[in-house]
Amino acid sequence: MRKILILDDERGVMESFSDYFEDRLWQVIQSESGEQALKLIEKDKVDAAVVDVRLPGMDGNDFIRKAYRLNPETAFVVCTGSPEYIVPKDLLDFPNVSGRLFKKPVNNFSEIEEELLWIIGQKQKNE
Amino acid sequence: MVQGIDLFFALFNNLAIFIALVTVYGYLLAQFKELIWYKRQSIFGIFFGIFTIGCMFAKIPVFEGVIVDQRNAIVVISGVFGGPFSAVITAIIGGSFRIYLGGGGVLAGCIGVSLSATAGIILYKISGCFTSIQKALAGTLFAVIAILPGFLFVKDLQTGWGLMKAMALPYGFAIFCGILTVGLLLNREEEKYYLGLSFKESEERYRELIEGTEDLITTTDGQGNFTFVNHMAENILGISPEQCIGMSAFDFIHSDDQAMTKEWFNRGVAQKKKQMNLENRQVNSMTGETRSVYWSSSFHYDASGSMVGVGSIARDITEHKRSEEALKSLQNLLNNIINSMPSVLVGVNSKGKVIQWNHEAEKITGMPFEEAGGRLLNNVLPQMADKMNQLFEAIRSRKTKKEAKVVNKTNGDVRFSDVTIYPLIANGVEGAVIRIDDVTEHVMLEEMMVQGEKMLSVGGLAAGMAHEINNPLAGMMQTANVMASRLTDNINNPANLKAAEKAGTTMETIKNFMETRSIPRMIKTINESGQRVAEIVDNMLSFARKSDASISSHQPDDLMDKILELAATDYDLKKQYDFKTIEIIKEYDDNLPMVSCEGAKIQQVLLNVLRNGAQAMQKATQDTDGINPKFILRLSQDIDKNVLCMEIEDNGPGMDEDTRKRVFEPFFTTKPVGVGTGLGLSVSYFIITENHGGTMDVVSEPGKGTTFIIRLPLEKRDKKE
Repeated sequence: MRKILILDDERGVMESFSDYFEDRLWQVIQSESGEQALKLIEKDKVDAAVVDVRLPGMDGNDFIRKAYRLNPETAFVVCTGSPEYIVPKDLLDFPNVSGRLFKKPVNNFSEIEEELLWIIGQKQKNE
Repeated sequence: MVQGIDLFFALFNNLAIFIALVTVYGYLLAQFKELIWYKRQSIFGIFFGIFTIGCMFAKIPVFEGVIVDQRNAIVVISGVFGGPFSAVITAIIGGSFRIYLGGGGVLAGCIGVSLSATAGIILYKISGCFTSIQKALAGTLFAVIAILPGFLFVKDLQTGWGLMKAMALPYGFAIFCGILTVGLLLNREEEKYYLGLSFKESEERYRELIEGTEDLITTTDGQGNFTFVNHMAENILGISPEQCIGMSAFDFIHSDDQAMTKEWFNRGVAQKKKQMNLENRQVNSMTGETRSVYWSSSFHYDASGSMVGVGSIARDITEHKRSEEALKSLQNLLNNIINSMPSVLVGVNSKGKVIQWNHEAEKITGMPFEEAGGRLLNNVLPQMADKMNQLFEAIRSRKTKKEAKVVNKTNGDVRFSDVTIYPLIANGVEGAVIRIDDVTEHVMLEEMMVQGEKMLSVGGLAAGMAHEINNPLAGMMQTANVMASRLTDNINNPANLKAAEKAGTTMETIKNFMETRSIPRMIKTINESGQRVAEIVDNMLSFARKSDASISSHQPDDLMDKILELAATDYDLKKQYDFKTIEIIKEYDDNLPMVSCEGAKIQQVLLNVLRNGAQAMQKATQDTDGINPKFILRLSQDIDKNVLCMEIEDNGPGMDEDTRKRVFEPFFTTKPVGVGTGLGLSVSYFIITENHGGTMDVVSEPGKGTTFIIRLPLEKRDKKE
């Protein structure tokens, strides 16, 4: 069973993602802050993560940098409600960070799922 | 003893001496007239004295020891023409010689000489006593009567009296003739002398004038040939004055001026003019140098009226003309500088009257200097109408006064100007220069910048708001999505089945229940409504996004459609105005090219036009209650001009020529005060023309709707590809 981290401080958003991925038979780990999420994935490695950018404390970008160091295998997708946001250059250099930016509200969850599965598939092909 | 007529003629013979005296006198006069008085009188006294001695050698005995001669006549003459001192000297010389001759008449002789001297001195005091015959006769008679009593001193009084009576006629008359003749002759000598003197003087004066001047002085005969030329001929004509004589004056005139000069000369002669002036050019025949001269000529005619000659003075005005030209070109330069200034520059004197008026001033007032000059500034320059006190204050205090953004309304057109008053402070000139700069464009730009700033801050606010709205909206919509997924699309998923079983029912039952209660429709409504909120937020963002989002490629129809959606949200509850009641007809060409532009700014322009049109149509609908408001939106490509055309046509009331001309002017608005800023369309115009290098036009007629046409260049895109 694949594991996915949903990191979003907006509870409704977090729960809707969780519900969707649970229905798609993912094992979901939820977190409302980057710091907490790091602790969670330290013990329990995840295959994928959906990350919000504007968070209390550590922001989504920093979280991805740190999480990548913990486990370079994890596939990341950024999902934000900020209209001005662009994925920073250094993050795009990571092979498993999606170049596609998903704007809230997300209409079609399956696009995110497909993106994540594609990144994971690419990793496995390379190995 | 000689007596009677014989005596008279004997005495008359002495006239030979007088002739010598007159001749020598003329010479002495020329030699010694200028000497100091006592030297001159001594010389004359001695000279006359010598002649008295000469007379006494031609002595005539008239009584025992008594001789008569013309000595007394000479002593009188010496007094009259030599002066008192001269008379005394002559008398002493004559008396001494008489004493030397001795005889009974010595005393009478000496007294006679003394009486003569006295008479001479008296006549000398009455100046000019020989200038006319009458005066000479009277003077001489007086002298003779004064001399005769000398005979009384011969012997005793009785003898003397007898002698005097005998002498009175012959001697007296001879003496009379002597004094009269010599006196008149000497007077003529004197007159000749003075005449010669004054002639010499006047000649000298004329020579000094003619030779000393730097003007060319000429005389010509009736044909215009030189009869006299002064030394300036050398300088101006190039040859000596002597060579000039006989040559035609016309030979030295510049070939371009020949005809004109001849015409002038002939006209003068024909009209019998006495005085004529002319300016022409003379050529130096040696060096070829051309000098400009000003002729002042007097034309002379004989009794029959035919021209006999011309006397002229020609002044060399070359330098004068040159400096005049230099001055003129300097003046021109200064005028050019002042006129090329983009500012209004007006000079006024201390009374506030216009003395200088540049082109810009003519342009803005439509008044030429000829009209404005000399008039009071506040009457000709509306910007200065209420600033005359400041003007005088500036002149008085000699301090520059400046006032910025002075509002000036002409024909409802609001203009802003900066007015500066510079007092003139150079060497005693009283007055001021007023400079007026039209800063309307600056003010407009400033206003637009302020507007831009506002929009930026609104943009920032919108961006922040978008995040805040998007998050809860995402919570809502995404949850609704999952609900839809669980309850409709994917209803038989294992988790559902498991949950249904646990609840003691089946998914089939639940599905039936939900469909009966329209739950899927409700979920769909939540989704659709949420979707609309999302779109509004998205559109607002793309409109308000910071301008440094810079230029990118856009699909024109996409730009138009998106702004339509945003415009559709625009309504005014109070005015019951709703964009959605407007019919939209889209006439888009196929295969429209991508256009490089700042999408948000172009949308801002389109929104502005749509809003103005919508408001105009709405007002018309209320007024006429007839027409259904309608927009026709056209997008096309002009391949020839390589531009994209965006047209927005409404069927509103349209506008008249006056309004149409001014819709892009800043601050021009037809809306009530406080409703419109009058900036919307001018900012739009600025964005299209300045930011994008495009054009923005408006076509309209009253009652026939309005069409805005925006053309954006496509070159940039071509280069990129």
